[in-house]
Amino acid sequence: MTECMLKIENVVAGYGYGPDIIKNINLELNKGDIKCIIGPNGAGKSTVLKAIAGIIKPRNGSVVFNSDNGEINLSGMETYKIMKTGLCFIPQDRSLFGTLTVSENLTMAGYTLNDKHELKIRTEEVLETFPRLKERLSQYAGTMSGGEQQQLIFARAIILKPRVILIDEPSLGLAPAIVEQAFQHIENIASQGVSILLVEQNARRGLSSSNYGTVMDLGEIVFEKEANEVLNDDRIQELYLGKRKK
Amino acid sequence: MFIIQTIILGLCLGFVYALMATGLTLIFGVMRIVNLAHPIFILVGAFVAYYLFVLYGIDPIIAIPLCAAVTALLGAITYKLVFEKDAGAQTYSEMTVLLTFGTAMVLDGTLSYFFKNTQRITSPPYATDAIFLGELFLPTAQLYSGLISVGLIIALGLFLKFSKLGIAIRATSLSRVNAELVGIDVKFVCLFSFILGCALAGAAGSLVSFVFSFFPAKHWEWIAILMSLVVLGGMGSILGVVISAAILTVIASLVGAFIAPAWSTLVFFVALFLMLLIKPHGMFGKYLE
Repeated sequence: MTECMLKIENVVAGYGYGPDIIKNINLELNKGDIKCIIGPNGAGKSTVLKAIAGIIKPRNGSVVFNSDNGEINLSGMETYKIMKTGLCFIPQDRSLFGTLTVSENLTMAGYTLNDKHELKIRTEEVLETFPRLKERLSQYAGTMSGGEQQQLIFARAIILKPRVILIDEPSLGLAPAIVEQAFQHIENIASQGVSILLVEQNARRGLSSSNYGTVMDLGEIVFEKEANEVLNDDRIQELYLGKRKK
Repeated sequence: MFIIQTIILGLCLGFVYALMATGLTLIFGVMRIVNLAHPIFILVGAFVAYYLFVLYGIDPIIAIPLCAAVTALLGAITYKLVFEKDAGAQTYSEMTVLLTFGTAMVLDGTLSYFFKNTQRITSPPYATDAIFLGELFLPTAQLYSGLISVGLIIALGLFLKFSKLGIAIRATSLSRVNAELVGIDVKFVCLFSFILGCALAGAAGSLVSFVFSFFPAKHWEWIAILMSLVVLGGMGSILGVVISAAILTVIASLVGAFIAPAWSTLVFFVALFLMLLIKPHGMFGKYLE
């Protein structure tokens, strides 16, 4: 039986005192799955991720995360505490500290790890996965190429061995070859049993790496299917993938 | 020889100014608080050092940790009462200008009430002593305070560069949200940085107490100079503030020696004026939103 890692029930959220951006979102994420949320601009895709990560507080509903220490409700928790539970969020703007070195960025990624020795071992592990970073340890993160920054982002994400990674638009502003690499990383990470919830504007690319696709519009989930079914769904082809009705 | 003498004295004084301003620039860098109350914390440190010396005969240099502890505690209370609530608000920097101005007024009034506007200066034995190196005449007060300032600034630099908390402070100053996303308790880091900045003010106060004569309203004079140093160095940059303090104080000393002492303060403001015209971000200024 598949293990449910993240269960979102009736989540409502919005910004400041503004209106509800997402309404009654229900979502489940199983172990090792890649789920891609697609939908038009302003559908509330990113808001779902932000509500899970606690960057905006859900106004209603629950976000139950199956952490190393059992199930916990993330709803209402502060972001930095959520990040200690084994959940990781990669936001749109990449979240690297540009004027910190690669090595300092990795130290910060392991900030919640109090065991220095353990951090060292894990840093070496991720540097083995991303050997390019090894040569750049003392370089400022902001001065690296797009592809190298991408590697650092994923290196930072996996250093704490999270159970769930939320990724907001991995393809945004990247050259096509680097987008390919990004999805390669995502698939590799998921193959090790990490669950990934993805928001992607490039629906076709996002879905082709995912197991499941969730379609959102106007702050609600329209439907959810296996990724290849979503890809072949007539409504989707017409609306988001740019195929004309015959 | 006279020029070298002036430059050395200017440098010593410059490092004291740099220490006075590092706390200010640190607090701005991490929290975007424009702390107009910073010099009054220095003044509190100076008063603590003065009374420790007068009442108990404790040397101001030895009293540095005590002065730092007092201002750190005062800083913690002020931060909790005044600044924590609205941290992260969009117009936080603008708000803090008023908040810190008010804080400075309140503390200024309190100090004036208790200590009146008389000039004070701590007078440990070395305050009036001097070392002669050939023809060079080096007053020990300036020399010691300058060297200790450099030491403290280097210690701060090492802490920020190499310790985990230090890196977290720099990470937070780059982006609060991204810092939180790696699990940094941003609220704690802000509180800690504010306390650290205030402790630096207290330490500087202890040194200032035997270099300058002071009275409760003195801080208005200092904030003008310190703010100009911070803006020149690039708001938030500690290296920038040290360099701008060193250069400007030397120029100010030369102006004081060769033209007239009354003109020396002008150097800071002319430099500020020119910097804002030419490069408003300052020497090492990061891009500010």
